[in-house]
Amino acid sequence: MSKLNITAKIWMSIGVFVLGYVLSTILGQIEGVATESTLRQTSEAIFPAAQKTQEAEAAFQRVVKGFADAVVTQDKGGLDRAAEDGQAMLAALNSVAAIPGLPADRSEQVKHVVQSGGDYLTEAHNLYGSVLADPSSMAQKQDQIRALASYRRSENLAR
Amino acid sequence: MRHLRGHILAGVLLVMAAGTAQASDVKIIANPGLADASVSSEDLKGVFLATKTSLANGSHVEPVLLKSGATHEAFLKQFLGKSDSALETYYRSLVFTGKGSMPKTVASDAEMVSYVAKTKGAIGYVSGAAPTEGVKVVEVK
Repeated sequence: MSKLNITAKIWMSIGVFVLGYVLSTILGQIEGVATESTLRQTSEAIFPAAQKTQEAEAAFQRVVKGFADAVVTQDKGGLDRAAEDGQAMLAALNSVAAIPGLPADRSEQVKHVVQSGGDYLTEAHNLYGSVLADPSSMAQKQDQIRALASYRRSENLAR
Repeated sequence: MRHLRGHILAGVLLVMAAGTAQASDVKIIANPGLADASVSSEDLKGVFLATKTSLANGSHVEPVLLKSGATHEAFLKQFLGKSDSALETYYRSLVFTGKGSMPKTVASDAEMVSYVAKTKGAIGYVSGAAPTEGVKVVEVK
């Protein structure tokens, strides 16, 4: 190194600087591409999924309200409203699961919620319908009703 | 005019007297195992509205209600401040949300006395004229 003349040393320094600059530019480009990809996924998959999930959650709250009206105040229309809102909830969830670009594990989770939500709707409609038809049966069916209440608390659509 | 006022006053007094008589026609009864001879009206209301499962002394209690009738209506009005339909809705709401259960209901005073006598912690009510053998009549303070 000590044998190099001053000119060679200057060129070597410039070379190191240029090499560092090039490497830094390449890394910046790679990072930019990754960021762009993340932003694209966010705008094309995650943001619409969040919006649809919110729709599904709102529909689920309306389902619960409809069932509550049917059971607590004996409002027969509550069951029909709950059924309609239940279909809206499942449709919103299915559209979330079908969003291209959504991470596979998230998509699987949504499919699981669609399945359990559908089961809940069927069971709740049958149970609350039978209580509505025969209000005096509420005492005998309260364990099943409590189990459904427990399901509502444990199942989190936003997970 | 004076006579009319007198009649109205007498009528009002009669209605008030009838209300008092109806209220006092309800006896609160409990299983003989209950330690206290009296309960506070707050405790009683809490027990029948399922917000309390035990009295101030820690005794576990289970409310028992009549299905219908004048005694039932009088009890609800005097101690719970609710109508029968409002109470029914209230209990349905508790069951729907999983926060409580429908209370035990019986059809008559005799059935009430029989159930309360044999069920530990049971607390209910009967009409003032009903025999209360085997149960403890509890004073409400």
